[in-house]
Amino acid sequence: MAVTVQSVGDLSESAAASITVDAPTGVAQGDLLIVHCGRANDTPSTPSGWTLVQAGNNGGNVGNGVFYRIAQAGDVGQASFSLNFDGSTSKVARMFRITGHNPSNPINTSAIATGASATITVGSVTPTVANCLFMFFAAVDTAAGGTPSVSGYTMVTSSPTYSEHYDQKGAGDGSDAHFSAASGLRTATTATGNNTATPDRNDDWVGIVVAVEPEVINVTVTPAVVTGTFNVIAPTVSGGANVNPAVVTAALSVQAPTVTTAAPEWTNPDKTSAPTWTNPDKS
Amino acid sequence: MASLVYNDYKARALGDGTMVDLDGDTIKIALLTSSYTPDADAHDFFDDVSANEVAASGTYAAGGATLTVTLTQDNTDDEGVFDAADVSFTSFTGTARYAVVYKSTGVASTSPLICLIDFGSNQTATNGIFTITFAAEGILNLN
Repeated sequence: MAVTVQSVGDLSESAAASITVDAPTGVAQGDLLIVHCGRANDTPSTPSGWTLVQAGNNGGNVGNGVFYRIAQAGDVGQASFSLNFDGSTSKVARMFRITGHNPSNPINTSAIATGASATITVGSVTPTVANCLFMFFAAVDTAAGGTPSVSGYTMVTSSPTYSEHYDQKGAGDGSDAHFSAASGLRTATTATGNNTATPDRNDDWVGIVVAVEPEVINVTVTPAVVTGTFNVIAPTVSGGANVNPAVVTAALSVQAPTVTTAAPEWTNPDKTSAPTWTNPDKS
Repeated sequence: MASLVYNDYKARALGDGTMVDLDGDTIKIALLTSSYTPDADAHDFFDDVSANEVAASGTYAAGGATLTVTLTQDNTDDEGVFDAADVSFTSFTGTARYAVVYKSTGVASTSPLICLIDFGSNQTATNGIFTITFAAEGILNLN
């Protein structure tokens, strides 16, 4: 099963160190929970029981942090999580519930960058496995007023089609903190090249890119042997084993000779006297 | 669709055309998706099936893996046995329905097909190990 964002909790905000973060719906034991915190001025700290993915700030003007946790039995059914990000500046937070991740190594790779410009640029990362869920977390300074807006999440190479989950700032205690998040599935394992997003202003920002690793599924197939059969085809024997050819008969015939009858040859043996002619054949 | 022996190979086994030397030639096994429609009559070379090959992933490269083949005479079952060492592809993500065994000449259009193994259903590995364990009686028997 692909790595999938199943649900995202509602916006939570606070100006105190701790925020009661709304839980995403349907949390089950083993789910990957990712909490994203945008903080005015400073870097959010890692809440107890959670693992830091990336966190930082730019110039003490805007902070951004991402943390994860594999849901435990006690997390199931919780309406919210009380998380201490430290400090008393304005904060906003939202929590993701993700399935299809590798439970023993949910974060394949990540990167963070900070700056002050009209483009959020996070350096290239290279996932070691295919089909990671790429998540882009941004935070933009709100000091200029209004609500920052971020769009155009992309990367140089084989960019997933990002879907934005939220792009907002708090309405109360979190009104000085902004954050946005988008995600998309990427099949490639090549380097991403720069990861970029475009805020609507030239101001301080913190960008975080996270590749959530898919779960490992092994498969073993044991196919049955393929059988080929040599057949000896019984021949058709005509006439049986004994062949009796017709007798060829050569007839011997006596040819009647041609009989030529010679005229009698008369001879006169005594030539001295009056001839006495005789026919020897008649003698 | 069950496993099958390609008719072209049956003819080659009898000496038609270029025979396949199972333990002398390069014999490979490649994974195919469920989009493949088996055709023992018309399919004779690897280029007839290669469009349905699974995408390269992990240690699985286009064209599949070379088999380490053994040929034996089985007088108990009165058959010739074509067998090979089991095959594994690691760090593999993909789904395969079939495996095709063929002689590789290095050119798909001249690489004759031998037999098709039907897994019976799609087999999916994700970021994991795809293993084909051949039966005790081998890959192909002639009896």
